Amino acid sequence: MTDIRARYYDGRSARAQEVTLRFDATGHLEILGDERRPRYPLQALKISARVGDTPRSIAFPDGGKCETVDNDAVDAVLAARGEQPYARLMHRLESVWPYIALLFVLTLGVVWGIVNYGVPEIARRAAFSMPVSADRALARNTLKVLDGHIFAPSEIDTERQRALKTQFDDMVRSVDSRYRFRLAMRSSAVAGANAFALPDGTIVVTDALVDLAQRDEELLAVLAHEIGHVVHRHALRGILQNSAVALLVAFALGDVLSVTSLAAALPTLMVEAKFSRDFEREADQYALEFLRARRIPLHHGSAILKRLAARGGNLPTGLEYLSSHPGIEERSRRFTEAR
Amino acid sequence: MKQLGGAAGGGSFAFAARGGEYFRIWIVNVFFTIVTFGIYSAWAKVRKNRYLYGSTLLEGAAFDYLANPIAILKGRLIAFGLLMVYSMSELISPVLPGMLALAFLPVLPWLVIRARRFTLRNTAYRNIRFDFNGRYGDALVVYVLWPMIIAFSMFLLYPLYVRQRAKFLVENSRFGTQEFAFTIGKGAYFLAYLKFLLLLFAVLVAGGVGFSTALAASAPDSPSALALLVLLVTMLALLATLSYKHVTVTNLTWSGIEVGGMRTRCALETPRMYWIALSNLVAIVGSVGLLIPWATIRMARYRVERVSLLNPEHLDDLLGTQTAQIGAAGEEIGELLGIDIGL
Repeated sequence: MTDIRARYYDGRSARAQEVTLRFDATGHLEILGDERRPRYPLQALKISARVGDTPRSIAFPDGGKCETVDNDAVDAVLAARGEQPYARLMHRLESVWPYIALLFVLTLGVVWGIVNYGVPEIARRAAFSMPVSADRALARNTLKVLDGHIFAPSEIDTERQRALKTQFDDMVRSVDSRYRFRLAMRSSAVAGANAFALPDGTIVVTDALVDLAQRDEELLAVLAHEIGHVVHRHALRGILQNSAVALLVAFALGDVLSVTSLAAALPTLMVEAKFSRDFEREADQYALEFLRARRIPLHHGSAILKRLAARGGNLPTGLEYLSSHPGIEERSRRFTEAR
Repeated sequence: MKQLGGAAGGGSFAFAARGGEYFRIWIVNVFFTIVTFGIYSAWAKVRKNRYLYGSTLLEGAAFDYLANPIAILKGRLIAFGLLMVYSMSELISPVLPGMLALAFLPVLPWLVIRARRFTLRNTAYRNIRFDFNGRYGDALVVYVLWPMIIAFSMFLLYPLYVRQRAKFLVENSRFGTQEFAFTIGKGAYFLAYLKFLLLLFAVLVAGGVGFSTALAASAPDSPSALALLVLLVTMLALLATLSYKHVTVTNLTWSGIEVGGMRTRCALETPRMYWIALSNLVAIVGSVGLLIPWATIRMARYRVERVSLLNPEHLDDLLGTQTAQIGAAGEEIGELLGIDIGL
């Protein structure tokens, strides 16, 4: 027999009545107070699952309800009759620090697995199951917008332009024909020495980059890298991956803090930067295989990378986790060490 | 604080949650949410709210969060589906997202009402539920028409909009059979925003003058340490100004709620609020998120314990009524899209 002090609320008024709840050995509950109330079997009651040490409510079939702080006594009654096994397990998980430590480590492991394998793999499969027209849709108007803002027509003489375009056309002849590859040469003050790939197969090369290259093979290495971005469908995969991560962060943290706040933005940024670095590595690998198939010496790839790095743009050590590209040492090493 | 008896001296809210206890609940929630790919998040939300509501005590009695996790899960799935459709629509046509957003506008008031109703119907105190019965037309005026007026008035009428929103939300709320009344006038809101603007202006002028003076005194092309210090102090002062606005408006709104002969009072203080917010941010970033639960409880405790209820003896006179259940789609869509209901 267990006596529990509680307050009774009938549901019709907010007035509280002090009562004593008495559970007898047969699992029946008696409510002892100023008024006479019916006796209930335990199964007829709705006892709220325990959350921390917050007051517990016991609801009766007639709409009345009791509130008590004597959680341990209620738990003892439930345990003795084998009621609410899952709720009691949850509370036990939440009460024991070693379990918490274990769950914490497991959480980190699962997050690591999802970010490194789960999301990229699912996004890759989803992207490759979509038609190429999806990539083209992504790039619609992009060049037009960029031309209006950061690009101006190339100032390289037309003869050289034509020669480079011929080389480029020659290069993409063997690549996936579903993409409409074309070389767009532009001058740009803000972009510096740079090359971009638009998902529809347009590869933009700045004049500064053409000037920086000492040999055409170096340019071919850069172009192959950009073609790698297109055929690996990095734009589409990037969108899928980043929105998946944003959703995961929203679900995991959305209940504890506003998604827009800094604390949620930082991990999202770091994961997105990691995805971007992985794409760069994949594109480098593509370029490497491309050069190798053409019997172009691989050191041309690392030469242009090093020259690009010398012009600045690499983040200082310690900030690699926020960078969209892998470190230049790592990238050029891949070209020099590959056989 | 756990004592349910002893109403003497009451009238104020108490918050009995503890950081360590909430941390454990939080870790378990995060773990199950992640291993179930977000499905558990509905149960996690209920557990979290049950802890926070259950830790909020008025006159020794706790609040109750009664939402059904299945309802929340359904709501989240609908919200998730809509978001997917929206983000994929750009692939079909570049104008489609804009059209969808426009089509969403008349849905917004409905969403606000549904969200509010879901939250309040699932909130109970002393075995009596709250409820919300705002009408679509009123919500349309407050959440669609007013923002347009604000844009045309160049934000001059912004204080009025904030008051209108609070009035709509409060006066359509009920506790059992009792309706809430909102008693703060327009003048008080205008005054609060005027004070904020003056303070903001003062900070901007002082910061601007201070920074340019320090900059002029330092070597060209390299701002001195003093200039950077002035800049930092100005930034912190700007944040303090925002905190001041938040505190005054919150105090105003939460001091104007009347129900059954009782009246709420909210007495947050800017320095304390600013300190809690700033140190919470530092703690969260410094601990890589581990101190989020501690920060949540710390902030909630301050907010809850600065609210009090005048004439709490009338609590016993409040009467209950029956309410029906409602789906959670409105609330979940609003939450996923980050819609600010504004109370």
